[in-house]
Amino acid sequence: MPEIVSEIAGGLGGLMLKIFLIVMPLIIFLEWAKSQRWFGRFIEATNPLFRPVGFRPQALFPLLIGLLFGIAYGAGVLIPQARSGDLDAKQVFLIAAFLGLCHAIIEDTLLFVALGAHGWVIVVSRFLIALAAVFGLSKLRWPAVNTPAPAVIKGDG
Amino acid sequence: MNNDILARVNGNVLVIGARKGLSTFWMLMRIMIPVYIVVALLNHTPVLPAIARFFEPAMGIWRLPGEAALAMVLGHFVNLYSALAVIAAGKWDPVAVTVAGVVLGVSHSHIMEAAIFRQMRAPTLVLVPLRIVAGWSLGWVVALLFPR
Repeated sequence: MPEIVSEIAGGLGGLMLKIFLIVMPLIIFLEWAKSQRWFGRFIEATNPLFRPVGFRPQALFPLLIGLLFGIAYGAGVLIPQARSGDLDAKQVFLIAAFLGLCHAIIEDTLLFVALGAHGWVIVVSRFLIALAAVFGLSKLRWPAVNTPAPAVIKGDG
Repeated sequence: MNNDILARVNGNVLVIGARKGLSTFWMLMRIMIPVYIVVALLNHTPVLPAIARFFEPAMGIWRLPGEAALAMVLGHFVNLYSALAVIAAGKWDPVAVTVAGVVLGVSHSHIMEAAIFRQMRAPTLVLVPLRIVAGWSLGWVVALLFPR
């Protein structure tokens, strides 16, 4: 019985330490990066990558925030932008699809790496499938391009 | 004078980041600690090994151990961190953790994230099945990539 307790305590302690050493530096780094002037320029610079799969430049900010920080943060940026008419229904759909498949890519991947996963396999495969899915979805006729985002139509907020 | 302002702003950013990091860490621990303890204890009973044996054939298609079924259920319906705790308590091989990372990375927290899609006014009925199908398909492809 005591061996089980010490085994669990040891395992748990190791896990907590690993998580702490991943989460703290990462979040501090991301918070700092977001405050730097080059951050906006960095986001704009990703246009050549995301334009071919169907994203307009206005989509890049919520997309990159969601990709780096997590889906809730991406939504937090996207929703006001959609309400202000900056994003149409199609862009909202594509951003949501991409983020649904690939968000918080650094944090999620590092957590699995802490448990022994091959990180690059996770990052590359998630990113590629998100790009591929958005590319396919962008070819659909629905939602029709320039349909206002529903948040605007229903007049909420 | 400008350097002072910049230093103060940057100093605040680091403090903000540290605070956010700590609250995130605490949020993760509130989920992972109980799950880890329960799973680690259950591993010492016949319960989890029996569940694992039952799911071995199905999970094996993705090169996952039988107990991955528990991680997958938690990852899909609750969140990623509970699934991570199951994996940590089980000590899986790197290929299995990688495949789990791919499947769960794409397909997790469906209840909570569907709510976020609804807030975005994005089509949940399309996006949730998309994530599930994409996650498991991608995981299967990745599992094939590793030599046996």
